[in-house]
Amino acid sequence: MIQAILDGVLTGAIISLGAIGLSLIMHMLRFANFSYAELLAIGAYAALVFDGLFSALVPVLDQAFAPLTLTGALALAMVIAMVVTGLSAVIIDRLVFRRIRLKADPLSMVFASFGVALIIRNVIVLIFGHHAQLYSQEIARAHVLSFDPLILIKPDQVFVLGLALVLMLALHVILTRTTFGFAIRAVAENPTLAQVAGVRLSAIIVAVWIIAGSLSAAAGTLYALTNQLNPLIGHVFLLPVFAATIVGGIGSVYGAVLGGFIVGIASGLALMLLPPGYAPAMPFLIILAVLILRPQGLFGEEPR
Amino acid sequence: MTSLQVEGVEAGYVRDLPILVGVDLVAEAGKLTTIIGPNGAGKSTLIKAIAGLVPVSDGRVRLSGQEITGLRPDLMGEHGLAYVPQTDNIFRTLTIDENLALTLRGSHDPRARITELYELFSALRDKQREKAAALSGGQRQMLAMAMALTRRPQVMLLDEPSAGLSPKIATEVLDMVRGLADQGVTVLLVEQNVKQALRVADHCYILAEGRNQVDGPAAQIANDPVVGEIYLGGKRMNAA
Amino acid sequence: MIGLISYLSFFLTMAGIMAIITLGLNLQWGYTGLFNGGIVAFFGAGAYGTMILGSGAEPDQFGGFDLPWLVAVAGGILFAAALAWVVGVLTLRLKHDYLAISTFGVAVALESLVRNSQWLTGGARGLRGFPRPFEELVGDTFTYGLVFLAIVLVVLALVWWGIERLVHSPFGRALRAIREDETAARALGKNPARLRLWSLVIGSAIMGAGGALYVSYTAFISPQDLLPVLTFQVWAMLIVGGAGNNRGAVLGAVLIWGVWTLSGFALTRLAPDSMQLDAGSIQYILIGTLIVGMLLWRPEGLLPERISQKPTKMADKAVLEVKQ
Repeated sequence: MIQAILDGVLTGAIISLGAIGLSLIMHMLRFANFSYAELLAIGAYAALVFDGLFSALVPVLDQAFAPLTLTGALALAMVIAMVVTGLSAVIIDRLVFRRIRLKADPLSMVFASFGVALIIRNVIVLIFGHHAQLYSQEIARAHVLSFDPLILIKPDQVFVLGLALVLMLALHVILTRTTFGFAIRAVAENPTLAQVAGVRLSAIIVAVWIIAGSLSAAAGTLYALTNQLNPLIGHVFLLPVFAATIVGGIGSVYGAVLGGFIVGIASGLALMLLPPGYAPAMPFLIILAVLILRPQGLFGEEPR
Repeated sequence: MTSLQVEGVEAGYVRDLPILVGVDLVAEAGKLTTIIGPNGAGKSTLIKAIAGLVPVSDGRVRLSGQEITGLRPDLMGEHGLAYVPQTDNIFRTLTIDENLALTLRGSHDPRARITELYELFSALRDKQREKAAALSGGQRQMLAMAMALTRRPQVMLLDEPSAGLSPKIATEVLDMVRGLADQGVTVLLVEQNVKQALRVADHCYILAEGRNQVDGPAAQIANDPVVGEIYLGGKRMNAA
Repeated sequence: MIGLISYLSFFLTMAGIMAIITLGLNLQWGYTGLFNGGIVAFFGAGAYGTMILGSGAEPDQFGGFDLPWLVAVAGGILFAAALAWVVGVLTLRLKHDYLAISTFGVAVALESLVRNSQWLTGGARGLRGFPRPFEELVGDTFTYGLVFLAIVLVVLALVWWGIERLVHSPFGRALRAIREDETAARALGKNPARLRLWSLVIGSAIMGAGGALYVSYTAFISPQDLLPVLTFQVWAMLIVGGAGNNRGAVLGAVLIWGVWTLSGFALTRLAPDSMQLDAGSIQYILIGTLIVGMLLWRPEGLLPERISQKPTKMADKAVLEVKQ
């Protein structure tokens, strides 16, 4: 059972990174973005591309930081992937969602996000193929933390958890120590008043997309590092990330973090009781439970 | 010192349903001008239209002749205009300090200005690290005003600052607003509390059904029976 | 010649089934404003229900009650309606976005359940074998194709007529009332929650009917048929055709189905062998682009509803992006 919780915490960290951005986007732009989780896939594959590039150009980077399978090339690639995905998120918003929200009603944005998700996922399939891939051919050895009960952990997993926490901490610092962070929180609370206070709304929306994109890229890459890379990453994470956002309360960054861990651990524990095929259904049950019992989640606004 | 001119303004949230159907108003430089009128007259809408939050379909708004009609609300501060909304006028999830720092984003020496403001609003200084949600009604109004004052505006728009406050606190708040006018700030004050409004104002406009009715020096309006008629009897001047 | 007619008959049969499902969605979305993100779940409920009730007995497999066709279809429809009722009771009071997410989740959960319940639904293998209606009477495949097409068109006409009657009945007027001004409608004694539930249930029953017809034709159903792609296809059909009126729904269904099959056909013929595996992806990209393109160009669809929509979200828009 401890193994299940441990794996759940790990998955939870990745879900949390994804959910932070979605929570902000859903709150500020008021739409359920069904294409959001594809940002994780974009990030993971962008990292693949740049990893290959850097390994080829600067072979010395292609060495792993033992005992991790993470190479210098991949680490650098992940940073670039975060930037690329952040920019992609802004471009997608400019091209599609922004035009729709200026012209039509908010629900059209939800439909459009269905379409965008289909496009992104299948472009990835066209470019990279259906099959699963790995960043590194090295076998990641698991360390045994204890024999009875059997608890295994891979060094990569420790790195993933650590990095996820570092990124969340970095965001926390930005939100609580910089006026830029205050501006984001202000827009999340009251966009009209934020404008009155001198905040340029369009600039903050761009900033939030960049944050959402980069955190999602990190989440996707970290997931691919400890599991595998495949075009369905977006599909796999869509419901869990929605669930985390809803559990935490839409609009709350800290809620999204907590929600991610809750969904991860709950799914992990559920897998102990149910056959593995039922895993996709777990986040849905969580969503249903929250919406019935406490629709605003942990830290969200009270329902009007 | 800057004056504010509103000429023939038509405005409303929905394109073909204007709330204001033609308002003309001048807030003279360095004076306190108040707008009063029955509920639904469009007083709040007028202030919001000036501040860029409600679309203006016809007419002009000028600051000392320079047109600012329909300017983006976040750019109003650069033109020396500040606005204190009636409700939801502070960020409850931010601390007092963060609220003030936000309005000073990008300015030269924010801490110095914030310290000055804490001199003016000592009650806020004691609670600076607390979230604004923890403040009382009167303290929130103080914070909202402080936030509007951070960039030393030349024109201040206030929407019913005394709403929800006890008479004592309301008097304090309006005295402070009077003090601002005395220091040269052009104040446009929307008020539901007619007595308080006329007490501190230099000039007074009465708005009803989206347009001007009567205006004049505050002391004169205070003694004019037509005010009561407009409020209670529904008498309307300048009927279409 | 026979080949062409045969293919056309197949195309129209599938288009007809899609049109039926789209009519169901139109009732939920166009007339009631409900965002059903899990269309495929109700389609699947109808299909699996009909298959289980109507197919012949198989060893070690639940089902195979070998009931008469109409009974099996009725059962499938009831199953879809029951599922919709449960989902509706739990989620209908939620806002649009939450409803979309929840219904999407229902579909994912159902697919997962079906895939893993070998004993009940045949698991990943699916269920095969179904006595098609009138099959023994009509000898050859070609003529049978036309017969089944006729059956589909009859059902389509029935559903169309039924919805038209419904929309012009007091129920339909009440639906319009709660869409335009819920508070006023409530004051007049209408019960929005109940009305929405009925709309969801009836619309989903129609989708179930589509599923029943589908399985009656293909005589095979598997979890692959429960993937979200159907939901996206039907939404595309309604968005392109125009929500709020039945003609738009049917037009959209035929158009999108046409684009889908044509693109599939073109890709199989024209694309080099190396790209054959990618044909599916290209089709999905096409559908996705159609959805996005339509929403950018003409969100109200090709045949928009004649009644003009009230600008409900003006305040939100004004607040969020006030521009010069």
